[in-house]
Amino acid sequence: MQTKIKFPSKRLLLLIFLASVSVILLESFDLPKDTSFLFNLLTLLCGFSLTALFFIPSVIFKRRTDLDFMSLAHMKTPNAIVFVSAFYCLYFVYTAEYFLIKYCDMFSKKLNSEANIFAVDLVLLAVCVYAAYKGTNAIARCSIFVFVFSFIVLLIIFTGNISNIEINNTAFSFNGTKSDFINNTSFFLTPAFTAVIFAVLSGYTKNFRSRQIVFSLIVTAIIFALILFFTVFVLGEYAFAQDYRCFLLSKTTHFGDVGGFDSLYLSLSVLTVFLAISIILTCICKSTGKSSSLPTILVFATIIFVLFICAYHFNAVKELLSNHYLLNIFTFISAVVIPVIYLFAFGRRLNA
Amino acid sequence: MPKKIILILLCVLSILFSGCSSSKQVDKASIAETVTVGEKDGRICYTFYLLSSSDTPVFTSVFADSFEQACTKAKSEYIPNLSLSKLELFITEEKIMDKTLKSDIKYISEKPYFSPLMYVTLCDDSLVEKFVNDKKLPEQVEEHIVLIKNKNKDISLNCLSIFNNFFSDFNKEFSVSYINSDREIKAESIKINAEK
Amino acid sequence: MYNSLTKNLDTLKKMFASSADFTVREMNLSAQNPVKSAIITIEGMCSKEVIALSVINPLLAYNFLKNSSDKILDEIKSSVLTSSEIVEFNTFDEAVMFSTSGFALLAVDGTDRMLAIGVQGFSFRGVSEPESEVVQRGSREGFTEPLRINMTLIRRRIKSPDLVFETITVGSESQTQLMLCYLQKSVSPEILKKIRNRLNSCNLETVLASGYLTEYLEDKGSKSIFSGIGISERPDTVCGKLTEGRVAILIDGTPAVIILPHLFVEEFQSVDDYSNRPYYATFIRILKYLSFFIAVYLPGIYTGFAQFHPEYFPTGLLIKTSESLSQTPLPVTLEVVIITFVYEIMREAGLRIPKPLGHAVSIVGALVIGESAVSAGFISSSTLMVVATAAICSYVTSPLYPPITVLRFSFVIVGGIFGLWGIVLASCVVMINMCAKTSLGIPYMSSLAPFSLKSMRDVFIRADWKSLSKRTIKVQKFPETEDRYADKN
Repeated sequence: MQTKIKFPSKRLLLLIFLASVSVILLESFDLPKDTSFLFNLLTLLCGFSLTALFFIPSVIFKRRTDLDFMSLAHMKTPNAIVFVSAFYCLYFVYTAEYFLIKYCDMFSKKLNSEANIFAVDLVLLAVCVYAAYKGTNAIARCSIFVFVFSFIVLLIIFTGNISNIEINNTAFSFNGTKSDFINNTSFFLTPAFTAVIFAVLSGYTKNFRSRQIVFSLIVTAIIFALILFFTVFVLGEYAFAQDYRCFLLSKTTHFGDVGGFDSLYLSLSVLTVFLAISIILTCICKSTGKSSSLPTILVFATIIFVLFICAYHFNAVKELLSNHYLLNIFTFISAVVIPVIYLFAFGRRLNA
Repeated sequence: MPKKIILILLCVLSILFSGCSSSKQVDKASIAETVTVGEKDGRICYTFYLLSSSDTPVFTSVFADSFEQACTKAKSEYIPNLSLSKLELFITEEKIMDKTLKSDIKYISEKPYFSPLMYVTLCDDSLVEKFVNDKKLPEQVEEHIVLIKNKNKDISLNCLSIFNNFFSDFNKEFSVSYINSDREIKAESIKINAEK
Repeated sequence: MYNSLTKNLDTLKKMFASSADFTVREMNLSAQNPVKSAIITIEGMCSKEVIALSVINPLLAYNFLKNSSDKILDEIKSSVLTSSEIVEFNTFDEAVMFSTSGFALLAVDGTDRMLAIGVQGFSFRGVSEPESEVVQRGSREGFTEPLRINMTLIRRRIKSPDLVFETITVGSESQTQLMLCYLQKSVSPEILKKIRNRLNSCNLETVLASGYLTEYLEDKGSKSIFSGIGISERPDTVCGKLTEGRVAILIDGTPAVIILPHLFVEEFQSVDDYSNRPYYATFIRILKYLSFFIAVYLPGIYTGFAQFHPEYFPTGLLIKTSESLSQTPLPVTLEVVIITFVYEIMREAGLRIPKPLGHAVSIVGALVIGESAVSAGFISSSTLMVVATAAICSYVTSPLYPPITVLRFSFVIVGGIFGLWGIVLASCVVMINMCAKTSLGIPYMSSLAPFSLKSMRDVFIRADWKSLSKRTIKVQKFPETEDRYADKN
């Protein structure tokens, strides 16, 4: 179903940005209690700077050849591609599980604890399979509507919490240890998975400019920073009583007597997770060298579902699949190590 | 044809297992608007006031040592469809504050269905009994709480502000709203020594 | 055809199976040696007065000097008949086609050629305002069933030699005539080629309405509840679309004209928008978009909230809803589905019922699904209000009524089973389906997704005519249209 027409690169980055928003919405923001706001802001900047660096190899490929890294790998190393494809498929399955587990956790804790979580996962995966079958272009077009909705929801959440802000002096001190720095930076590095998505799907786009990535990362960082700000100065100590701090922020949103906009948060989280998992499924398809092939998508969706069931029955599997350190290491290898190897091996022979 | 079969199977499976049986229908749900905590016959009594259109208050009283216990007991013995998502006012008598307030606030802060903006307040001994007869009393109490907040910004009205008071290190005591009903309803503030 | 008149007449009689409306008027032409001829008509298709005055009278009064039947026929064609339309042919298929189109056929003994004389006189409905597209300030003319009248209605509004009508015949039995109508300098040749190919691939036996062709004209792999084919009964609407590079397909026998390509945002545009002031037109546009969302989502969200999330209702509304729903026997999902279903039955009955009985239906409808049902406790007043509001909103964008109805039912069921979460996921499915859909290679959601800032002047707002007239956006220039359209234009 993938159309041959290239779509603007801005739209792919919009899609990637919204996938990052799902990270923001579903993360627990379980940063150490003793670290101050300024310290966390610094680690946020470090995390996003590293994320920007993760994009560099795929940007080089795109600028030189107008192709994505995966297509180039298929062209240049037809024999070794099996291993590269397998690794990337494994990476994307892992990332999809990461999001699914986080979302289903949030669903059962915040929405309906009695719901059958496997049915929730199955339905969500089924919808994502349909979206992946329709192709990257359709998902990217859909992201325009989700972007408008997310803009409205985030605006409501931020403006509705302004009256609850209580700024205190302690938050502006600079408290944090070395291990806190590493931990926090690793936490803020989670959106770097978008660099791997870009590496795989940028071949479908046209009119690419490097500043689009910079702009997209800056906006994501600003939203992260705003959420952090509101978490510290609105929720404060309350934030440590529960996880999914964004959900708490939506609960504290109020305009006079009208309050409790958690339905908006729940809707936005579904939409962004849907986009993230759909695009991951298309990436899996692309990694196998086939564009939007339904049997391939179905096979991998089944694998993801089976893994999900295992995760909920075996705690060790669940911890492994929702570990953001492991995700970051995987991301580093996928976004940087492997593309850099190809860059060194074939760099001189790459021409636009 | 195979696509249609897969789709139909998927729909049936998801409908069967989705947990739609756990719906909390609006016509069956018993939605609590106010909870009062008082002492009766030497025991702590939690009274749940439910939303209804009748002129007199509809309530259920449960004896328990904590709010968590009271909720569990209420759901299992008296109100199986109890919903606490619309709880707006949690009012405790001053004389039993030391026994229950800390654990109750902790419970309220940990559960996702409670709003952090729910008013948590203290009152004198006679106010809790007045809720049984006067349906408009919770509204009057809330109005007075808002009035006192407008006069005194430091007062801790709800779970969010109570916890934020803990967050600012320099406060070892903080003010909460206190409802006095000697002659008429009036919200004042009292200072409490806090432990984190 | 044969040279013998008798053989030709016998063959035609056999082809028409001696049908009662197959009429033959035989006569002898006055020449040196009398020559037999015959006028063949289908009764009711031709005007008897015109045949008598323009055909029979001149033929009988004329003295033919030439002896040869071929030369007599040539003379008839050039000098005798006063009719404005005369076509020569020599096959039986053409004879059938002309005679069933209201032409009178003139056959002369001794020649294998015939003449088809344009003397149509069948009765047809006059030009009147289309009931399905009522406007306040636009023209009151609408298309009718005869093709030629519809062509005239368009030609009168676009007095340009660029306007082209191209004939295509579809239907192996019905031989229905279609007219492809386009502006030569505006249209994309690729779009035209696609339309011609798709129409030629139509293997239906009869084509009686525009709906028969829609499945052949839609893009493959673009199955959706939304239609990529536009339909209109208004000449002014069609002319406006032609100037944007679209193609209109007029079908003989139906007033509904097909317009291709068709986009989602066009469902919210009407002729009145361009007649009213921009600020009012913009207000109405936004109202239409809001009505669309209310019509689709309100019953589903109400069901989802009532079933799974009662805490999302405002407190005052919660008490009233809870009270009204507690007095009815059915679960809220079933209640909403039943009321919506009953409403659809009433609507369908209102469409089909003879006008004298229409009043009775509206009274019964008001009683059945109105006050009595609420008083009897079968349904709750809050549910009735929600369904009624959604129903009224769905008429604001009446071209979208079929997809709105299907979506409304789907969201109610999904909301009742899965709650708000399910409604959001169902919306994702619908969004993806619409974003992936194309109409002749042009994205169906063009202007919105892919987003085009330039075309926003006529989507949510209606910019003033000075802005709109600066440059008409041709449909083939929308982003992500197949590249070869843009290159060649």
